Amino acid sequence: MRRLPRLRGPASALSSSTSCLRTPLAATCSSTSTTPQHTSAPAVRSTHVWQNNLQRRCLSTSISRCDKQAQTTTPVATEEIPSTPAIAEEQPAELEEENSYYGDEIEESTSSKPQIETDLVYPGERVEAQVAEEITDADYVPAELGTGLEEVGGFQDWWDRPGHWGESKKYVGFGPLEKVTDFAVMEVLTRRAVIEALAIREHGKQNQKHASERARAYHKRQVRAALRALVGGEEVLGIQQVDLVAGEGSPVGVKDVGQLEAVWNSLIGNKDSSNRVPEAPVIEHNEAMDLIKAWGTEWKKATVQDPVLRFYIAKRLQRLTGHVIADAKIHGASITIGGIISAMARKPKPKKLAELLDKTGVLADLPNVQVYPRRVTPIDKEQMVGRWKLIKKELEARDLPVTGHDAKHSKTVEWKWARGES
Amino acid sequence: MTIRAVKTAVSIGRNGVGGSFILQCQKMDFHYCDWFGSSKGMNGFIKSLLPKFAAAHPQIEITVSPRPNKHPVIIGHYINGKQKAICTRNMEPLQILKKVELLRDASGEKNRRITKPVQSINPSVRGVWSPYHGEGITV
Repeated sequence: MRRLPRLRGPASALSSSTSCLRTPLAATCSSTSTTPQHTSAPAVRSTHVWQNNLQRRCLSTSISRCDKQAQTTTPVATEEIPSTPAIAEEQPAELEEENSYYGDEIEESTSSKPQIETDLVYPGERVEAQVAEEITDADYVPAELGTGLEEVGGFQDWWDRPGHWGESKKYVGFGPLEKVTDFAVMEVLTRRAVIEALAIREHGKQNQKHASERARAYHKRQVRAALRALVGGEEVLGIQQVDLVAGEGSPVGVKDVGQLEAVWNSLIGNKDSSNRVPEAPVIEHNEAMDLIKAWGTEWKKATVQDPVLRFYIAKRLQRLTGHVIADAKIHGASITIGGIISAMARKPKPKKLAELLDKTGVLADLPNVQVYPRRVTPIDKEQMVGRWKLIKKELEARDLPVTGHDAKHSKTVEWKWARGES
Repeated sequence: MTIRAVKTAVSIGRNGVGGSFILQCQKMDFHYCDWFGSSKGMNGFIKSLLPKFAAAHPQIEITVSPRPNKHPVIIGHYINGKQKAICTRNMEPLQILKKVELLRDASGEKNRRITKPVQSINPSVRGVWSPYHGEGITV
């Protein structure tokens, strides 16, 4: 869309005189050459020198025009242009100014490009209001001042408006939005994470036989997808039923390695879920307690020596529970599964002392102690003795500010003086 | 007209003399800040030592409230209507306990310089003893 209607169309401007269009270039080229022919040549001849929008415009939409320009150029100019690198450096800035005037023609050329599929909502066509002379409504009164007029349209906070920022562009976290806080559920998920990590490692061992680069890259992608996979439904029950071989001080493993194949398949079968935000685990507290009783405590004493396995466990736990285990803890000298659980299950410290006192209840039983979670203000003190309503009523009756200061009743006289008021 | 006892014959009650002792400290306010480092000891005191102190002194009303971005302070309120405040910035919990005990034992009166070994509001009937009166003392 042309912004200045009085200007001639770009096609006519170009066809009538190229020197008119190239006027800014004359100034830039003057340092190297004083002949006007030099200035009109580059748009046509120097296709290898310039790579900008105007050049593309000429080549794509107005070939005939370019041909005309080619005919008008002199042999002298064509020979000299490649030997003037200063022109090549200075031209793009000048041409950008021209592009701003002939933006509509550039749009034509860009419209031929393939459209990128996106779910972003772009601003629509520019809509201009009618000018006052064209409005036929008899009730219309043109405003003389801009103050008080309703603001319509505009692009401020465009991407923050609802629906404009595409769903696919939104951040998807690795862990669930809410961390798992139930210790029993956390323990069940830890066992599941250990089994899944064992399955991923086992699959990696089998794939190490393939020495080709391509196979290794494929395996990496598979592992990445498996670590992000979200398994649900009956497949989870299958994973939980895998028997762990674990004892005090012994490395963790499974009784039947063949069971890990099924676990791996369930992980890879759900790799489409890797871009989803994990939801809260469906397992209930009582159900988790039953499972913990059935499993006993021996499996928690097993050690996790393999650093790769530790890493897989940590990633799966982050995906399932939302807890990030610090590297110093997960890569400790000898860590057990119970150690991983305790590193993860530490309750966050209360940020405020009042919260801590409320949580521990050390002062709650004492009748002579009162704990306030926030500062006790003078208004609070008046409310405690039942005087505040009276004070407020009397202040309002005298047209005085109830809280703070207003324009009439400022803090001090000096405050007025400082602001230049008498 | 009701019969009244002779005023001079009635003894004036003295706190703790021949009767119950009433602690002069009525109320104590504990202010702390969650963010200031100078409140670290005070926060520890409130967590660890205040429950015992409050349980041992049920006659003292205790309030605990934050005072953001300010040093920690203890304010004692007394029966005579006066207040005493002690800033406890950078103090350890046990140091704060000493200050709390100081406020507890205070009467609420202004601090005065004591120049005489004995003070009394009951002047002796016998007057001040003198070695030059009476029968005298043989040395």
